Amino acid sequence: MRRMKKPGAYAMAAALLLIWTYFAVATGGLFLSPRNLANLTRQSSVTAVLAVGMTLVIAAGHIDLSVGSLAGFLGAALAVAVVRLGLPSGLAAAGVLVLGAGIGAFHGFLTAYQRIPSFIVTLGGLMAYKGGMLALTGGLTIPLPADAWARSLGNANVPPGWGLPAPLVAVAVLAALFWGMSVWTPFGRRIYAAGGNEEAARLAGINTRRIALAVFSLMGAVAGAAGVILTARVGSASPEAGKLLELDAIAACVIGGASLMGGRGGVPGSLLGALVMTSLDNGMSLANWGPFWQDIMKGGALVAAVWFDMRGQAER
Amino acid sequence: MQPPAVQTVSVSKRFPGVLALDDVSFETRYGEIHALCGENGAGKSTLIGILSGRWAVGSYEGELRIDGETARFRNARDSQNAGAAVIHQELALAPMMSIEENIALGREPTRRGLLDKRRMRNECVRLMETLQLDADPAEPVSQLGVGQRQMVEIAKALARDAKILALDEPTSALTQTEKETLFAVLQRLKRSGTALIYISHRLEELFEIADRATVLRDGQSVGTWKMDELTPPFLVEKMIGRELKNRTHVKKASEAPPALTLQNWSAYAGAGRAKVDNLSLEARPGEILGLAGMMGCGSSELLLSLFGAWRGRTEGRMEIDGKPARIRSPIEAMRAGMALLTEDRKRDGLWLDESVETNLTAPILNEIAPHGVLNRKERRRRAEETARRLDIRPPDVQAQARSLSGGNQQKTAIGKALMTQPRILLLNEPTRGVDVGAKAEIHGLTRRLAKQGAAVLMASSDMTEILHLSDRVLAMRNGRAAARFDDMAQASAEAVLAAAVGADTRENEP
Repeated sequence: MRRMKKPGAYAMAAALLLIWTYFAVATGGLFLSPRNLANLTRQSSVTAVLAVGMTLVIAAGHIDLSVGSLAGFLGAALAVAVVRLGLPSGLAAAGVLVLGAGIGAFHGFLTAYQRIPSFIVTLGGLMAYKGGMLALTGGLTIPLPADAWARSLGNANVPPGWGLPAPLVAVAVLAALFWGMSVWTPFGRRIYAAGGNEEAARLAGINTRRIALAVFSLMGAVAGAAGVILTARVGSASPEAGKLLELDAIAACVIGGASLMGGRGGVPGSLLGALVMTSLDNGMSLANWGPFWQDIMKGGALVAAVWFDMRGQAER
Repeated sequence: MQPPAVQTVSVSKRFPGVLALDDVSFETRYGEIHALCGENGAGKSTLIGILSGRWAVGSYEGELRIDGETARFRNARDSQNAGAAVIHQELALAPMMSIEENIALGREPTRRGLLDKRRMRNECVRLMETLQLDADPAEPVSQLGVGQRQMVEIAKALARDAKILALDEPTSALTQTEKETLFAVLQRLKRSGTALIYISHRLEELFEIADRATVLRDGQSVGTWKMDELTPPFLVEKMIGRELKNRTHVKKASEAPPALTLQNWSAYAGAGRAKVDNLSLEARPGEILGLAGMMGCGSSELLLSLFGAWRGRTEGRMEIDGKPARIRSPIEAMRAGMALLTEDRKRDGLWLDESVETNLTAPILNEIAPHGVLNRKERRRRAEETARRLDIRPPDVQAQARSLSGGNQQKTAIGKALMTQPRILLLNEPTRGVDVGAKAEIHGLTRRLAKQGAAVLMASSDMTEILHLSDRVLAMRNGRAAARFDDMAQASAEAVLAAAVGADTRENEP
């Protein structure tokens, strides 16, 4: 009799190992140098943060297409709050998280209580926040002042002078929180129940609408965190920031074993997925492949991962 | 003499663990309306499935003949090409497309590679005239009533030159007027030489329209009679079989004050059609109230509405333990001590990709998370306790629900309902699609639960089950109480079934 098993977890880890080995050889060891690994985690941090939040959205049976442009918008809001309003950057960052949660809650309200499919709600959001970002920045890059706390966040190490890049620590903390919540709390299990079979969940006394509202609110706050990292990492808000990141986040979840039908997927898998995507990006540019290869390979990896997963299911 | 339009010769069809058709020989002639009767699960749908190509040649034993020649249908297309069409309860129309487009679907007339709209329109108008369907051919099908949609479906079949038409419960959603229109059309088709196979639970309709009837019981053909040789009681007797008369369970109804009381309870679907119509009942602790009825009788809707899960409007008075109650959601129902076993475990009862443990503990997550964090040991303990109590096999609560047999899946669904220790148990078709062994276990469990003081409402279309388990029976038809049997000594399978299908001559409710 078949027991429950994380589908494809080993295959995923093996694929990542394969990718790393290949690039380690192809770059003569450069890929695995401490310096590049630090770089890799910095690059992957924004995708990873968004993928963590997206895991819950997808597990609940929804989708959020707005997170890339929302993160860009909120990153710009941070810069504007610090530069034009003179707010301390810590306070501005907190405000950005709250604003993100509010916007997410609005998505959740429209989806769960007004019955507009989340695909539509967040596609509308994608367009709207892109416009909002343009309005905030006026199409220009807004640099943070040199002494802003947020600026140091992007490049600082934790603890200071030691090894771990701050964005990596942020990802780790957020992922641990979300992973624990999804596995160890009633709320987390209900997300999967609602996404796996909404009617069964409703009849088991689960308030599926409140679940959706909460999940979208969390996603919004996570987009706020991603926006802060985005702006902190380069020390400025650019009008192009965050563009298409929602697709990377969704792809990371799917590569990590999430099903867009809902009810399946997990935070560790999505993190691995994000790492696969960034490793491809980073390794190929290090190995001097043309930039177009990055997109082609990432797309191929996404489809291959799902193909592999479907084959595994068909054999059951 | 002309060979029969459809003939099955010694057809047997086996599903895992069930012999759905057992050596069935059956024939229908052109210019005849032939009724196919039997209880749920008697084999009617399987037989129609062989005619419609759903069960391909080779998946059954015996022979299917059309016009006296062996037919080897590999799929639905083969069946259509041979002139057969089946009209199902769920109509297969594209709702956003117009009447004419639906009729032409898949065989659209073309001129030089483009749609020939004029021919499409002419064909549609001709068929609509034949069927006296009064509507605009360009109107989307979603704008039509159920009766008109059914006519479009028939027109679609006729456009494909169907000469054999099988109708599965065609009147279940129709109003009286729509039904009369349908019957007039069927009579006309018959006179023009079409062979019609008609399936319905409503016996009075069969006597109104059919020429002959074949009765199936437990996958076997009991016989074929001319309608004018038959009486409703005789037909019911044939459907049930004599051996079921001996019941094992006669018990006195409970005297305890009711746990659940309904007065003039109604539940409405979207457009105001009453699915449950002005129903009153009492359910007492310690007894099983059987809700007997065929598909569409309203018992499913009744249970959903009691559980706060009905999406439409409800009306009437509900009392729990003698106090007025208003249940607006499943959460409130569970708090009030109710639990529901849904009709279709795969659709809305289980998470098939999850473990038995996850399924069982879904309704009690809060209980096993004392400080907001799940106590995994407690979760495992509660799941194993229930799995043991219900003897769910394999005895491994980490097994994926999908990997379990139908009977063990059903026990898992029941176990989930019992996790909250309900006092009022709503069971909908508790043994549908389970094998004989699991059925007996589920029956034993149901009786034990009642004995321990639960008030059980059990909806079932299986008359044997109803008589075997119930302490009292309420027969339902068209959302209403068709008959009540408070003294089980007075209840027989024939009497209950007769009330449920409307062949009852002594209706005891206005």
